[in-house]
Amino acid sequence: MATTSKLDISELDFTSVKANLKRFLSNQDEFKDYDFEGSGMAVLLDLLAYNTHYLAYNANVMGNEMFIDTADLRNSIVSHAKTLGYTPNSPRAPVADINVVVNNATGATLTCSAGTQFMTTVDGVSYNFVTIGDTVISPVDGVYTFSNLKIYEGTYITYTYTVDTTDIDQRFLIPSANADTDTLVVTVQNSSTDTITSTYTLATGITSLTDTSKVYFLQEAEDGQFEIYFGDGVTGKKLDDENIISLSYVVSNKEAANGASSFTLSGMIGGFGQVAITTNSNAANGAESESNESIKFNAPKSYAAQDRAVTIDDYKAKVKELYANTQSVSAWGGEDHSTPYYGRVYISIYPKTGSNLTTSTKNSIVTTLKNYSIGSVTPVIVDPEVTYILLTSNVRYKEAATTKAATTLKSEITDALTTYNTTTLQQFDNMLRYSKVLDTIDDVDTNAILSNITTLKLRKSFTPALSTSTKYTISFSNALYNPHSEHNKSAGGILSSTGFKIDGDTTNIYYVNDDGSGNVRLYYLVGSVKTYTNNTQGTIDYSTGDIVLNSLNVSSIENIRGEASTVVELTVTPSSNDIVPVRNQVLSIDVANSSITVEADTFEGGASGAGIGYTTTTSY
Amino acid sequence: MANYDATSTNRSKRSVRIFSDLNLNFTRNPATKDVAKLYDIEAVKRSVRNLINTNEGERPFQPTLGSGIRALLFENMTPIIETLLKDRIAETINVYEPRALLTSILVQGDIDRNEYLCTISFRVVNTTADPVTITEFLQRLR
Repeated sequence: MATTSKLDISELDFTSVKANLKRFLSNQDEFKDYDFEGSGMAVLLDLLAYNTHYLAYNANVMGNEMFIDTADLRNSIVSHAKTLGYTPNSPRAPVADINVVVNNATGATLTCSAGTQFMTTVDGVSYNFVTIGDTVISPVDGVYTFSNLKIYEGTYITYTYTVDTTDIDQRFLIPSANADTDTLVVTVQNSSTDTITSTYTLATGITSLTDTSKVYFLQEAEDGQFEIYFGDGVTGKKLDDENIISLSYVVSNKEAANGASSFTLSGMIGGFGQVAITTNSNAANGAESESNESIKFNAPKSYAAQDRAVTIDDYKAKVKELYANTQSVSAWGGEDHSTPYYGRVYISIYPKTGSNLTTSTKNSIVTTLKNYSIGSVTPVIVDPEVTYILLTSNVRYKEAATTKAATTLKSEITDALTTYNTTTLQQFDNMLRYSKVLDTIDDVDTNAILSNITTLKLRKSFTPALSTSTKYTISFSNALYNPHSEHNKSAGGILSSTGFKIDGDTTNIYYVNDDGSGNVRLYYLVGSVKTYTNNTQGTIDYSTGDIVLNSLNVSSIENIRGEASTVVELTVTPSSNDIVPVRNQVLSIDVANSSITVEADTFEGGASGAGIGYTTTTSY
Repeated sequence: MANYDATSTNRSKRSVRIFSDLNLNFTRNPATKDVAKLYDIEAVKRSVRNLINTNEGERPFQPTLGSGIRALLFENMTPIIETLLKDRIAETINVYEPRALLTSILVQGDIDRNEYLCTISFRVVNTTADPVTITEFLQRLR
């Protein structure tokens, strides 16, 4: 039939493969109709090319899945992470800390057993919280108190396997994708007749393991489920036939019950039901299982850290591994702190949900981090400081180019800024680039929006210690606008504040501003006239952005935007429109309190009013 | 598909065969024992028949190839449908079969047998042969 010819095999897509086959067939004269789409040859060529394309696609996908950078399937990513010694985080159950006083209890001891249930409601939905271990207490002065009882949201499950060493395919899966492996307790009973039971712990390394170490290993298996496996008799104790493995864990609703604050007992504690419950810390830390992107990011870094926290990046990777509710981590050495403190590593964690971390969570992370850090280095967790950016934007649009009303455009701009805020800011190390903000506004409707003039201010707050004379330092960490000495002195400089009352004066509401020469002034208003009571209440450093308020004795705080507040807000004008977050700073646009004005433009080419009576908005 | 063509009677009288195609029935040539082939006018007729019977989206990566007449066979039998069928067939042949120069298409509905009788006449380019006529019954299968 066809004579032999060179066939180009480097092309992978359908049309190229088909063209190659046609070129191949052009070297013979047995069949000539391959170029006509109705011919039998064309049908066959379609099939061959389709088949080749299909295989090429398959090979391409397989190639992608072979590398952690390009892998797309969860199972592939997890498998690559496994070779790097990295176990992804399972879903995490929200955990709350409560004290329980049992009022009608009797006896020498009282046991709150694993699986004891508590109920709570979040947004109208009931959630179940459980304990995951037995807690035994003795009464103190006749009062039975369970202090700092940790309760986890979800259902307490116990699942058992009987070891069968003849079954080479036997695996010990945790049969739920929503199980929190942090709550997992593994016990092994010798056999159904020998009831001696041992508790196995999670192995975190192999260097200290012997043939008798009672440890289990954890890895993610298929479909988001986790699997445990045991030692081989050299590294960790080996299981014997007839051993009964018991897995106890909590299956949770992940972040749904974060924030739960009020709990009631469901059932009994040791047969007694009259309890008084107080909450030490609200439910927090509930999180989804680690995302594919997060595994791709963390696994190589965790490998590079070699299970040690030495460099700053090691700390970042380790914290993300230890605390699943982390959205972003910033870490810096004590030598880079605003006031250098050698021998420390500062870590700031911006959580995915909830506000700042509780003290107990911070302590727990620090304690765990010490296992990995160098002996002389102390990790310190500081709360992130959010610097809010207030925008004042005046947007002009061409009325004839859109059917949208000004209010619709305004709401679309607000949405766009909110998205920009979530996707681009709200992370450590993510700076605000002014031109991108302008583009974000313009891009909302490129046909209709003609221009926008946008200015910005920075806002931070501090929590005063009431009725105590205290020095406050507020760092904006960005240069502030001061083009010349005494800039804007009479109108109050570039600093403004929300109101507060000071000790010894219950009548006047006080504010602070600056004199353009580095002094912070304290004043109250009489009508609209500022009456200065202290022209050197503090200092403002325009180059570093540091504001110091000396010996300020605040007795009460005025409402902010109509709501009671515990903080005083300071607003300043920055020198540059690009804003940089430093160390534990996170930038966030306060979209709700930004001022966006959208108006139809009158200077429209060809309009009758063009060039007459047109006013622009000031850019300063 | 069944082969209704009168294979032996429609060969070109030219000494050199200009079109040659594989017979998709994969019958065996009794003389050479090789797979049977179609030549010249016969090849073009088969191509036209293939095109008419191909539905749009049927061939991989060529979503527009085909006549799309199958959907029309499920419509009520009216003169409008006959015209539409004719137009679709003409368009398909004009676009995808440059070897066939259409001379006429006749579509007649046979309401009693639930089918259209479709007679397509064309000349084959580069041949001196008489116009070729294909007669095809178009009938829905389900």
